[in-house]
Amino acid sequence: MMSPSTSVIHRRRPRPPLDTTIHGQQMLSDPQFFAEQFLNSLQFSMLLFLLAIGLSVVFGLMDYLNLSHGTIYMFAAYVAFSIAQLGGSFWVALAVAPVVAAAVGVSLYFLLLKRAETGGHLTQVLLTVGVIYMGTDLIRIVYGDLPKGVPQPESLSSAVNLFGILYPAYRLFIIAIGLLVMIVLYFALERTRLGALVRAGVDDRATAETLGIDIGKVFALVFGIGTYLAGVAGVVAAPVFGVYPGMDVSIIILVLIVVVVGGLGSLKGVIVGSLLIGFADTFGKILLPQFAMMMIYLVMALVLIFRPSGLMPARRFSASG
Amino acid sequence: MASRAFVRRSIGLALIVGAVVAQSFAGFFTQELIAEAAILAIFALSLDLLATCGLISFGHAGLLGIGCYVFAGLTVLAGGSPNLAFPVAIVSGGAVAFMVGLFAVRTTGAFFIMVTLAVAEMLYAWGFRSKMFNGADGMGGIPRIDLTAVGIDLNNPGTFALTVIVVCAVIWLLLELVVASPFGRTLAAIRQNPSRVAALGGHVYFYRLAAFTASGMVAALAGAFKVQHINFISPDLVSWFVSGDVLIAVVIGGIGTLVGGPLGATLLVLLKETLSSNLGHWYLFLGMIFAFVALLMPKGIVGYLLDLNDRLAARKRPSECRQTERAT
Repeated sequence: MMSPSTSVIHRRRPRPPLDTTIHGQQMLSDPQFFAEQFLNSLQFSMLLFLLAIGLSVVFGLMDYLNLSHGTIYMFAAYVAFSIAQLGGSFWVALAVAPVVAAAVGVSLYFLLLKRAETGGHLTQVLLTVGVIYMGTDLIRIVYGDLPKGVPQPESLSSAVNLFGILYPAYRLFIIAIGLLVMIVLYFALERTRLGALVRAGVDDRATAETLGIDIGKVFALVFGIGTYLAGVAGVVAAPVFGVYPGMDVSIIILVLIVVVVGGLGSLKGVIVGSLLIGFADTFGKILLPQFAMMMIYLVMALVLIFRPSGLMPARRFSASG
Repeated sequence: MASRAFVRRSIGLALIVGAVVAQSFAGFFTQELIAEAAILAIFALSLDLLATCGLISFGHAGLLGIGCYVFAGLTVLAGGSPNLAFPVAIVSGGAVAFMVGLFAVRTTGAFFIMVTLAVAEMLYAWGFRSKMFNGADGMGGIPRIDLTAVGIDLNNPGTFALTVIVVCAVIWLLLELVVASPFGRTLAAIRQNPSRVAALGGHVYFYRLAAFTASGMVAALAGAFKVQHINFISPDLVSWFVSGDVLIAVVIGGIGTLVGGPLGATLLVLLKETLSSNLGHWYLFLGMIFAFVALLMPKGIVGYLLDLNDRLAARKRPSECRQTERAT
């Protein structure tokens, strides 16, 4: 069932030129092309995942809507750019920039964001939009308005022959990092004490606190890990998408969509959400190039109509709304 | 000590008087600014009406956009009279809001925010590619309402600004009546505790749907004024930046206070103008101001003033003011 407003739009929109659609479908029947796009979608999904997991758990644990999460991502990308300028290798950037990003993120949290913890979502939106504005302009003052490039690491600059398909090694590396983080997080959340504390906090914060768990400390740690992963995303995205002021805003909406589609506060939800949105975005651009932007929003609208709390939310958020 | 309603209404009255006086002394450029602020104020009122029942929309630009596109389409493309297009645009905004609301108001909180964003972004995507409206490049030549029959020339910037102020004031008064009515009280009750309203036999869904529809009509009205004002239509009017702007205006002013929206809208327009014409990196300062407001006045400026008023009242007559608590 489609929302009536979208059907209004469908009727009023001009007919898409048929040849492009057929062209897109023909391309899809080419296995080489299909495999490439499949991997591209997977790679984009992994980036979304790295960003969304921090946002989702922070939202789940503290009910905090932190729109400035993307600013940390942008900041890490610029740190990676600076390291490259200073002659440091990509691997140095990957080791250093996320740590710097996490340090900045956690300081930002304790200095500024924490003060709006009890203020409700809208106060948090106002505060974090303020942080986005400040961050973007500070970046502009230091680095200027023009997009910058970060080189790929030498060792990953070639293409890999994957069952007869040539695919850039660097993009496979992004996929590998995403999968690695997923596995590590899964075991950390399911099998460690800290993971149990986080899950307890997300499911029922009040009870967890009554049992003597210091949710404030758990949260600070989770916030640090979340911003660290946003930093990783910023560094690995830099060679592919470039580094520019405003790269935070252009991705944060997609990340929010991932979080909402997947359902709040759960790792599974974020994985499912990022895969769905990553694939919808990439294949939407191929199948319906005119309406590529519409595709993800359509997916989100459909998911929320049938599952108003997202696909796989943590237990506390699974009640309607 | 003054009641909360008295404080709110005084602020509203002061805003109207201030706008009218400023408008009569202003030059062309300031008149344009005042008109812009007044249109954003109407838009902010529509968002705050929805917030009365606890729903926050992050896609309100979509409903504004319905007003924009219907008005521009009927006047420029269909060659219709702007006087006819205006009410049609308002009704279309209500109709679209009703249809979207049938599905959207089933969700609340962050999910409602995202559903409304999705719908607005789909309209944006359509507008971006629409050949009829010249897509992303936009289309000009949108006429203004013709009121020469009653001696009002809206092509005069001062008259246009004054008209928009008057319309904004009328809408504000109407909404004051609405929130004070049984309907409005039910909306406020739904915001405070939807389960309890449902348990008492209130139709939460229908009240939310009605609020969303009414909000859509007011937003579309603002949109119809917007395209008349700037004489131009492009999908930028529907982008989520516009939804964000109006949301920020309402939050700065004070959500759930009605006058907060227009106050925030006026401040936002004036701030952006002053900062951008005097400073190079003005977003830095705008961001700082947002952060200051969020930290110092989490309920917005009007919310802060209302609380201040309550505290003063409590100091004088501790027993009486407890009863007036929470009266919106």
